[in-house]
Amino acid sequence: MTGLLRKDLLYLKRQGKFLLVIFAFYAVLSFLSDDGIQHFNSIFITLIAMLPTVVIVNSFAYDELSKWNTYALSLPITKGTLAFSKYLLSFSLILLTALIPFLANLLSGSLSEETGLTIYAASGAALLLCEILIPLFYRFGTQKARFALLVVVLIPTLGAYLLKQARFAAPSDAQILFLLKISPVFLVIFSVVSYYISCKILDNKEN
Amino acid sequence: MDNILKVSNLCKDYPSFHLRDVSFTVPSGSIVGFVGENGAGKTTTIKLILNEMKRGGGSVQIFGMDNRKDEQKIKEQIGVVFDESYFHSEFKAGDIASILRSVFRTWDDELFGRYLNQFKLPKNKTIKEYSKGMKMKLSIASALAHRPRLLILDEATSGLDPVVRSEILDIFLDFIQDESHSVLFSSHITGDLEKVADYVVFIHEGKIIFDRSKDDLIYQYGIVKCGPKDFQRIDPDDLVRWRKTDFGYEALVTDRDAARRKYSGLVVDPATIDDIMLIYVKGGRS
Repeated sequence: MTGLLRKDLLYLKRQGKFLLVIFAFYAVLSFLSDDGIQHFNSIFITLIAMLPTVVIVNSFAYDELSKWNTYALSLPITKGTLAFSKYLLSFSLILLTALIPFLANLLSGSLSEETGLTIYAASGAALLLCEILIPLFYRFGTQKARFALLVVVLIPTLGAYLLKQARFAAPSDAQILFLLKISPVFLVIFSVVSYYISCKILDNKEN
Repeated sequence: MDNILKVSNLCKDYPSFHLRDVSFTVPSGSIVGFVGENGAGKTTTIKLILNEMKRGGGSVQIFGMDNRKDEQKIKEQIGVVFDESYFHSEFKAGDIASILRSVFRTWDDELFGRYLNQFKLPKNKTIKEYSKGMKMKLSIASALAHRPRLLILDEATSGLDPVVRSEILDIFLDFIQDESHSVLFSSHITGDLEKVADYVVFIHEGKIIFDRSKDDLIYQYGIVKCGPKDFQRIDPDDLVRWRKTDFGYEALVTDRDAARRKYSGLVVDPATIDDIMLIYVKGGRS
């Protein structure tokens, strides 16, 4: 497991400079603007949802390019461990990217309940997205799964549009809060199911 | 002599290809050449040995253990080299060590470093800057640095120049100096097998055609070369396979000295593994 994570972190290290430049650029830009921390939040909370997904997509692409899975399965590594490492990577990345706006708000004394919940919601959405993507990447490979990524992102947008067209009443704050409260249970169940599906796909795959 | 690897009646079905009852052994302290044309079933067999795909039937025993029940224990003690480097091209040799150090309990950094020096592999260059031969040597160094007992090589010398191939073959010969080590070496470059293999297993269209000692093949097998009239004289029971060429007939016999005595006047040449493979694939039965 450590070896697999190390391999993905080495990929990340290669892209690290580029990511650091983006982080630094947006951080400076937001603190130069009048509404400093709000601007910072809007950028970094979006990054929570985007960055782990981009890294996971790249890690699958690199693995596929070098036929890593065929090699990895010749090592004392089970298919379950192979899949689990991707989940662990996405979880760690989400945690790390969520910590940046959380700590920035905490240290600047502007951490409100609303900001905290927004960071949590973005992290949950990112986790959900990764958990949908990982089995798709194992099943279809990076080329086809990239299109699936577009569909996955478009479905909620389309759903929201259709609900709006049908004049469906927007959920109240209390309802949203309730959904957020029960979401950890849902996320845990979803993670287990997604991991199980990934293992099944890998098990049936002829590498 | 104990068998490090024992493959018994291995089967695998694809819509257009069937691996049928593949059986052979790799004795301790030996190099077994696994030979066959492209698409004969060599890689499929190796992947089944490594339990990377589901088999249709049969069994695989490595170090006396079942390859599915004791997969992790077995894989701690084997080194695998494929036909190309499966490491990401941006990695350096040190990165490979840092990954594999966490994978193998017996990983030896000092030994890996020694192999890098022996193979003249620069530590400060990325893999994409390596030549094909250097990439293969890096794969071999990575496969050896956890001190495996069995090396499995799938077309590891394909596409390499003769100098690099010779260096790599020397590494294998050095590896089996320890009698508890063995090598299963799949290749369609039969010249390499003639240099290093102790046994040759020949697979054709998913079936094992023979599993013989290399010395038997190159010192006993022969090719009778003759015209149509002389060909009629040969007892069909003496022929393994034969084929018609532009110059007459070529017939494979298992005992060339006996053939020379029995059919005086006929040319009976020694057979190379290439000749034997070719006549099996292209030739007809008696």
